[in-house]
Amino acid sequence: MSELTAAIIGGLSLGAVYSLVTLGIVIIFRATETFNFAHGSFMLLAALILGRLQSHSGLPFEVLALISLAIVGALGAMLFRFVLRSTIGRPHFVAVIATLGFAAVADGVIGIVFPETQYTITIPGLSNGSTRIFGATFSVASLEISAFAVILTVALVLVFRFTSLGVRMRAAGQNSLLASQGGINVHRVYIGSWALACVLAGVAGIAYGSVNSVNQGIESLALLAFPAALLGGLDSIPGSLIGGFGIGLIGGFVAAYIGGEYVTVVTYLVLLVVMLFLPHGIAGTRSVRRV
Amino acid sequence: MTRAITGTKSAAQAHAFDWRSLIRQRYIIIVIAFIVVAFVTAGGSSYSIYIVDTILLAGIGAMSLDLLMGTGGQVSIGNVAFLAGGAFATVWAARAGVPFPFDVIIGGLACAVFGLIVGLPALRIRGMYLALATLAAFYLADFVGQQYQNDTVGAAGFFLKPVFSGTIAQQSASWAWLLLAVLAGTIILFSWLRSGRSGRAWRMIRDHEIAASIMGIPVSRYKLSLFVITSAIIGIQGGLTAHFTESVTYDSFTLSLSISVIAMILIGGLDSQAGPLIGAIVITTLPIFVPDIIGNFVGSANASQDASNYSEVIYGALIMIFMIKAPKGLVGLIQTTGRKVLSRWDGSRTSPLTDPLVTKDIPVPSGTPDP
Repeated sequence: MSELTAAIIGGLSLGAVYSLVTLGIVIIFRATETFNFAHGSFMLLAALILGRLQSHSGLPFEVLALISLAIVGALGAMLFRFVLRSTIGRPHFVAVIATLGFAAVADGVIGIVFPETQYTITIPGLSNGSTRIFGATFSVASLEISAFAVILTVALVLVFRFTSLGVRMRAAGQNSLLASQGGINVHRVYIGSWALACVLAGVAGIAYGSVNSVNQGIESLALLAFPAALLGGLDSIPGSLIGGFGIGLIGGFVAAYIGGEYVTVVTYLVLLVVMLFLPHGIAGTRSVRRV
Repeated sequence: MTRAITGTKSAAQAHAFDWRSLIRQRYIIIVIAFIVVAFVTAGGSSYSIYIVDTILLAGIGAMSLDLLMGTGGQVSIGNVAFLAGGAFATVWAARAGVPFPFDVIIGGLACAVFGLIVGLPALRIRGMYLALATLAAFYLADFVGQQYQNDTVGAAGFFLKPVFSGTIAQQSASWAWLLLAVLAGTIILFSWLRSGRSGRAWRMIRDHEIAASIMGIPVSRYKLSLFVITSAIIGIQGGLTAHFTESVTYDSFTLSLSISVIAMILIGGLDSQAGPLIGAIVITTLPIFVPDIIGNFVGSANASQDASNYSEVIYGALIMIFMIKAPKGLVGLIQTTGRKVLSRWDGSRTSPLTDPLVTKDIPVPSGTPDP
């Protein structure tokens, strides 16, 4: 019983963070049809900046978090504006490789600027201690963080579904020519999508880093969000919730019943199975071609 | 009319020239590599021989990835999976008692099978989705290697006996000759594959898969054979690396290693003979030159400490710059500059009329009398 609850609740709480990361990946894919392989770098960067600022300055948490998120969002916008914009119209993998190049740059810069292996983030107002649910022990803080991640993701999904901002973003991604004819500033939408997605990555990095420690492991979290994005459907914004929680639950069960070292490889085998047999994911559009 | 004749003639000349230069280029590269190895092993320090060895090893892998990505258009970012696969299969064979060159060959064969398996998704998945699928291969190889290592020797990793005897410099020199032989073999094999029917088929599949299948090219067979050949060579590179470094651990096979090989082929130039080798030289020697250059700005102590980080920043930036500004890499840059210099030197050479594509008679306006 305690294993089952550990698998379910542990999987759901990790799935909440995955959904947030996956939402960013899906937004970028919807807007500019690119995989952002530097997503993990943005997560780690935001968490590291916040961790370092917190250990060196006495400003309140909210200000420092805003500063680090603003830096990450600006970097994302700049990556699109100065690098990826000139890859429009070339094969899609060109932009993907360019994000890999950015990931390498970010990795190197992180190694130079943040020499310590570990930083900690403290969010004021999080509860201490742990709670027992059906025989398994959980830290209250990680449950609170997961609840926050779910609320934020759901709120954004609703924003994209019902506001004109969301309509504009979806239109610009679907057909940039028609969208620009309809009076949408397509490039502003693209840059905004990148900035938003990278801010979300930063939020996820900070959220994950506040209950765990801030180290390179955060980057591998983003690589697990790609299977989540494909499972939910790459072009489906609500699908990021399905995919995030799906991959989180799979990881929870694998970790509880088989072993923690199997999580990554099983997740990527799920990715292969999804790609081969369910190429549009659970909630994705059927016409999305994998070419 | 005369114009048409000269046009065709020069086109034929241009074609013949290209063909001969292709043959020549492959031997020129081998001869240059031979001269470099001969000079360095004769008079260089053991460190400089070691650097040449690493460049030769990296060159073998970069050429394979270039055949896969540049010629075949199959995007792979998990190529380090085959490096790890080859290394671990070689270790497995060596521990089972197989003597030196044969355990590396077993590593290559094991990777050929692994490549066949990884190639299967490529029959249905293309472009950046395939890149994601190759990540699965990376995690799979990493996981299997990790399990094998933990079950047999533990965290310290495998240690292999040195292949050659003698001082460190003599050993490195023997390695240089061996690796040169493997590299030369790879160059000859790949340029033969590239220049013939298979090269045309792979490029056609890369540029237009549907058209290729309509033209009767067996797409699946060519894709799978591409994966098998390149994975086998990368596997051999992995086995040689295992024997060269004399130790194997799973955590030395990282994704950033994969990205550095991608940087090599992008910087050098996709689908070219010399490109991957130029890229291998640039990327392998970056960590050696970077501390000296960076040291001028931040102080030498910091620079040598962060050498790998600085070179990661530089090659990441180079990937982005080459992707945007020079998609054909250094080889393409050299060709365009060379053509520009030539045209300034001898204007007729690059006039559009002598371009092999423009061979047709220029239509004369109907009102003008024919001279």
